[in-house]
Amino acid sequence: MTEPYRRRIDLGSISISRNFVLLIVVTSLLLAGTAAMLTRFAYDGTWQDSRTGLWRLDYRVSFDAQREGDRLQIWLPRDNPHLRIYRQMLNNPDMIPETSRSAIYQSRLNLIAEEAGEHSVLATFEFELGPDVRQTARVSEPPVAPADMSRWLRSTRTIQATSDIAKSLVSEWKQESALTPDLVQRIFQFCEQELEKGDEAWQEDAESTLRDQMGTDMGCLKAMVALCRTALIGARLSSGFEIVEDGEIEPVYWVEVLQDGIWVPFNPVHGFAGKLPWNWVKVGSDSELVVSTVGGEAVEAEFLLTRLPTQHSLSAGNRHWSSIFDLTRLPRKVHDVLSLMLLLPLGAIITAFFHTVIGWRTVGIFTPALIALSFILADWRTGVVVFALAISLGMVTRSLVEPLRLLMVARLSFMLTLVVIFLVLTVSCLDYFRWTPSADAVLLPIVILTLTIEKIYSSTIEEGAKNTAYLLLATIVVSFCCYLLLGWKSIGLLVLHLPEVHCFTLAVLILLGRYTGYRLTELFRFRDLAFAQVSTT
Amino acid sequence: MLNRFLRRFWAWPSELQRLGVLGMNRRNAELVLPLNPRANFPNVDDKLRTKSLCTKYQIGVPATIAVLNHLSELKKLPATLSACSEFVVKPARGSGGRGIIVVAGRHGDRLVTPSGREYTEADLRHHCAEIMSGLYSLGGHTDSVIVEQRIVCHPIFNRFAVGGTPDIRVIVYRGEPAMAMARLPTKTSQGKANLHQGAVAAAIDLHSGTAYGGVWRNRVVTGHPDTEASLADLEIPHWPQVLEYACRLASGLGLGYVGIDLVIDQANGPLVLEANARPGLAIQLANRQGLLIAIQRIDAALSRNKIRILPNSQIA
Repeated sequence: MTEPYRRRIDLGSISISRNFVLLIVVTSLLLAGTAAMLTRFAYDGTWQDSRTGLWRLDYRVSFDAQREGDRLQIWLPRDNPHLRIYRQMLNNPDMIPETSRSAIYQSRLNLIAEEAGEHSVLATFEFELGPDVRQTARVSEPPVAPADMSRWLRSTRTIQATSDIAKSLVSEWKQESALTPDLVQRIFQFCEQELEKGDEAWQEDAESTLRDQMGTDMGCLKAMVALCRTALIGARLSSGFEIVEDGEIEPVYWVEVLQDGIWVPFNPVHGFAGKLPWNWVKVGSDSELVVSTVGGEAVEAEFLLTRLPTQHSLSAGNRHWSSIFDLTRLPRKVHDVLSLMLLLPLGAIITAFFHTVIGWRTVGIFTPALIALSFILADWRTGVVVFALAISLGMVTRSLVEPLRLLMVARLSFMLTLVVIFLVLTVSCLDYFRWTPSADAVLLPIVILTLTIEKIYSSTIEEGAKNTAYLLLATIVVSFCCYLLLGWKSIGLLVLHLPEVHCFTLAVLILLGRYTGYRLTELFRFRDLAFAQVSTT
Repeated sequence: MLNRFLRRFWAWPSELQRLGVLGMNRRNAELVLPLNPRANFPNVDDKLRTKSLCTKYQIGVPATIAVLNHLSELKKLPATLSACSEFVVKPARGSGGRGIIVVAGRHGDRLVTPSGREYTEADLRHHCAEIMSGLYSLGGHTDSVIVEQRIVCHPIFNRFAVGGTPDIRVIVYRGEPAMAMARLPTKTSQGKANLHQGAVAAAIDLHSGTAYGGVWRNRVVTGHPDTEASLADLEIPHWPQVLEYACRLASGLGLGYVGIDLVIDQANGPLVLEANARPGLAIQLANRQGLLIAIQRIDAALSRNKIRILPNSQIA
């Protein structure tokens, strides 16, 4: 420790150790972050998982009835321990609802067309979702009547319970153990581990999937149902929705196996058994389709999920100061922007780590984090290609501009204009040739891109191509690390729901700022000193 | 054997610590931040201010022929330089040698550099305009042009420098010289005394001013790679004056940890070129010794003599 570097800070007549002050500041930040989170936890009673809260699910169905009396069948969500529906609306002009008499079809709505022609139905459900919603109404499915059992053991066109391959497999497993739980477990293991899951071009029926040991996700699920039924264990397909984020959603499917009179969920594709994830909302039983017709044609269904404002923000009288930190109460459309803003400090930590601990320089301090953010906003593959093209084109143009000897501000403005023209034309080209689904893919940070070109060019002149290549490589690696962290969806949701975690970020940055040890690159740079010392001794 | 092999690729932190090697983080946190007040950085960033301080403290600097602050002054430039056949044009706030033109003679109306490149007076005026607009200045701010005497290198360096002027870097800590090296241009560095670009760093013994080894491209060398002259034969002329200038200027700048760059002119002896408030760490490689050892030695000596140097207090 050098002498002028004072370990103490003088505050009038009081002298305090610098390390003590550092310890106090870091501890205070950690405590403040923890306290803020605990306060919210105490108030909300739950960690604000992004999936918890209020949601609206819209079914938009259009149906072409061939004749009067054609039916539209729609499976609807029902209350369960994780879901409480508090509002539902059905807009079905020209169609008559019919209540199902069968207990099995309690949640299925039948709509009968009064006349032939096109009909549209809008069904809206607003519900509260959470790991433990604790709704009072007891929800249970009635026990399976012996008469209904044949339904859950039948062989169908795509669930071939009587196929030779299914019989052969079941008979082999029955020799190991004939107990139902063991058999079910063995079937699940087989479907999860030994059936290869592939795209839509693969087999979708049970027999082909079992024969080829590969199939679509639906093929694997049907294979499990078929194997259970072959083993004389009741099984069926169920459908529902996974509640994760806003937007148009597709139904999800799983298998339900009848064990001791209870339907137990299994999903060899997503790898869960025994318990349905709480954010999976069940709608249909024994059906591959959430919406189907009897008689009609051309059914089109669209399912739209929207997050609603939280409960607390619904009632002004129920406000608590801790909800200031609850950014989810803000309009949903600003969530992505807020999330990205809150992610930026994490990018700063990565950059600071690479600078201070690893010893890598980058083009600009926050350039890697900003580049990573732009790739997260868009399709990263297109982003990387466009970025490389923009840098290459920029470098060529910059060297062509050099003989013009433009003054710096004008030169940078010239390059900025060039980058803007290039990006806009690229957006237009990508759209024209339909090479990318989104024009956002090339909306890179323009100013950052311009300054990066300038920095790389001057670095090439001043430090040589080799050093510039290292600089560029380091920037790319740091950007990639930022991309990996910032693109982690859970992290984005975490900082949005718990922005107070940035108290920890500040503490980490302070500790990084006080790191005076060797950088990793210095261990390489000064290796000869140590080696010479060892050689001489 | 394995351990010996691995040591070719890195050193353990404990080894560097034992050797007193100063790392970048520690340099910034424990030397630059506490010893170099931000307010005094303009003293080194602006070469005109550095020159002014040198003059104030009677330290040799290259003679200034002209200083141009406004574009309107460019009209007078040909008249000002008409009597000079050798001079240097440089930006006052430049860095890394950018924007410097060395004129070694005239060929008719044209100005000729040591490498044979020719400039017209119009070219020179345009270059000066670029300097003033901030093309070469730190942060791109508007700048001034310094026209000063061309250094004629001391003949002792003829065998140790190829295509350029060697300079001497002295690290001054709390007003005392801590370490020194000579930077010797090579063909690889294209005449520049820049270690990154391939110049040789020769360690200089603080007491005698003689070189005792060197580093070229991070590898130990005993001779100049182009001339093959033994570095041990290099003895810096006017060495006591070099140290005296470095220490005096460091105090004058108000910086407790500073690198002073000097050249030895054939006629005028040591002249200060510039100073650096964040001197690099490569000097440790050249000297094959950690800076912390020298720094601790100075601390101990100052403590024994009860001398307390406060960098800020040196300047009124």
